Formats: sequence, C-alpha cells, structure tokens
Amino acid sequence: MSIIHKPHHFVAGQAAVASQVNDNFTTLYTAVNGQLDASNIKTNQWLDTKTFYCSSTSGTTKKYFIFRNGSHGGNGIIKEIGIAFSSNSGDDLNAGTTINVNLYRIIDATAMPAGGMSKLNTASVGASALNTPIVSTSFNSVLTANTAFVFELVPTSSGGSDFNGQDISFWITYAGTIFAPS
Amino acid sequence: MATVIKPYTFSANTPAYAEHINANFDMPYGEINGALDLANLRDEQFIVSLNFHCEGAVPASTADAREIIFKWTQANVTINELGVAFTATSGGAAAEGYVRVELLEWNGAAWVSMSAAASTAVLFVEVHDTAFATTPDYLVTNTTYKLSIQSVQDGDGDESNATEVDVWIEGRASLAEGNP
Repeated sequence: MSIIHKPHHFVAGQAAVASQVNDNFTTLYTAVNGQLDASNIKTNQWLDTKTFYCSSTSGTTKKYFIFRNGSHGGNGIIKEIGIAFSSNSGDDLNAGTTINVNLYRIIDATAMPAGGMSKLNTASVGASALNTPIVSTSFNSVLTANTAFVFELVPTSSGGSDFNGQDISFWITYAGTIFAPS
Repeated sequence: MATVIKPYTFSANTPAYAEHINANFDMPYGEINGALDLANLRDEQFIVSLNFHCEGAVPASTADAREIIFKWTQANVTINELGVAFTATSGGAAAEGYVRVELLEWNGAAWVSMSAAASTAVLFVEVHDTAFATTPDYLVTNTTYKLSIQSVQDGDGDESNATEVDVWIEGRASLAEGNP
C-alpha cells in the first residue's frame, strides 16, 4: 500500500460526518491488516551477514571474492567485516604472518585489481592467530545498491615464511532495507 | 498481533461515543507500537541473498562442469537475479571463452533448468541475469538446487581458463510459509 494518507481532516466547531470518520479508520485498518510494505518501515532495519570461505592462500598472492548488492534492497550500512582462520599447514603457524581482508567497491572492473576499486574499510583487518576473529567497524561508505563489491584477501609473510593458515572465513554484516517494490 | 478488526462503525445522525472512537484508535496504535508481525506485511518484502565461491579452475571443457548443490529450507523466494564473476585465471591471460553459471532445480528425478544463466568472459567483470521469465523462478521451500559452473567456448573454440568463480542469487521473500 505504501505511505497512507488520512482521507479527512476535521475542523473544530463543526460536526464530523460519520462516513468520513469511518473512512479515516478504514484507511488505517486496511493498511495495518496486511498491506504494510517497505515504504512503511524505516530503512536499514534488517541485518544480514554474508560469509565467505577460502581454503588456503599461496605465498603473498592476493585472492578476490566478488559479490553484489542488488537493485531491489537499497543501500546497506556496513556494520562490520571480519576474518578468522581455523587451521594451518605444517606443524606450526608461521609466526608474524597474517591474513588481511579488505572490502572494495568496484568502480571499473576492467582496471582491477591494480585500480578500479575503492577501499571501504578505513582500518586494517588482519588475523594472525588460529581461531581468533578480528573485526573492523570503521568504513567510509555504504554498501550501495546495484553495485558490485569485492573482498581482497592479503596474506603477508614474515622472516622468510609465508602465511600458512587455512580454512579462512571472512564476513560482512550490514543493515539493509527490505525490498522496496517499484 | 496479526490482523485487527475495527471495533465500531459510526452512523450518520448518531452521536459517536468517545469511548468508541478511542477504542477504534487504540487498536491500530497498539498494533503499530511493537505488535506488528508478518501478517501485517505485504508478501515479498524481504531481500534474500546467497553467495557461493568456487575455488580453482573451471573445467576446460564445455561438456564438464563444477557444481554446487544446496537445499533451500526457508520460505519461497522469488529470484531477482543470478550473477557470476571470476577473479583469477590459470595460465596467464584469460582465454576468450565464457564462464557460465546456470541454476537448476531437482524435481525428484532429474535436474531441471530454471531457464536463467549468466556468463562472463572478462576478469573481475560481473554479469547478472534477471530474466527469469520462464517458470519456475522460485526457490521453493524444501527443494534442492544446483549451480552448474562451466566453460563455454567462444567463436574461435577457446575455452575459459577462469579460476576463483563467485556466484550469487538475490531474491525476495515473505519469510512466511505458503507463499506463493
């Protein structure tokens, strides 16, 4: 039904017409009884989390994961991105190495990954210990609708050893808007 | 609270009692102030998105495919779009073949195409298909689906050498059983 408007407005000192009083009530009751939609609800009331998985990385080679915020749900306010890993190759985790995750908005896909994307997280998000989630809640923009985004995984080395963590999970939680019918 | 019934209807030339008017207002006020539930909302007001990542290379053969099977257990979802992108290639520059993703439904005996597919041939360039004109275009409760990811040759016979393929589905749902 979208936004509803009160059909009649009553004036002091004048008798209200019964049918107009009834109209005002009926409009309200009709809306509440199953006709409320996205336009009746504040934006960004709905939390969603997208979780991604990467089995392993190689050396310091970056890996990318693309997703899209479609055209139907409106902009999303990013609440956090996070990363964790739960195993490693070899006997020990290579000390001092990390796996970082960054979130970018894709601006010009054909220029990627050297350019063509705009970083959204304003703080670094890197995990360096097993089973220890790291999150960031600081962003410079929203998850714009009808736009593609990409997670970038950046493994780092230390003392000649590469990051050897495995079973890497990372995620984004955002407050979205429920579907707004066109 | 679900749906509410207006307690009183007023008649011409008949005085309206204050308590009746108040009762008519109290009902929707009570509803709006924290008692709304799914029965108060129109269908398909919620966005649902699914994301999948296919690690490694897409088989360099049009006849072969990598497949992701999932079961949908929530309320029916009307699909808005099916999208695909890839972020790496094997063996240097991308060949000119396409990566194609297709959504199929298990009907109890066979996989049935849902008549929508998206294909991309360019690194990092996502393509999404919203043309679900041919039914079924729902993710149906308690139904199993398959995403088939395969290489499609270009006009010169080149296969795709894409790796690291991302696939997503976005739709809208009522978050209630029984729709549609």
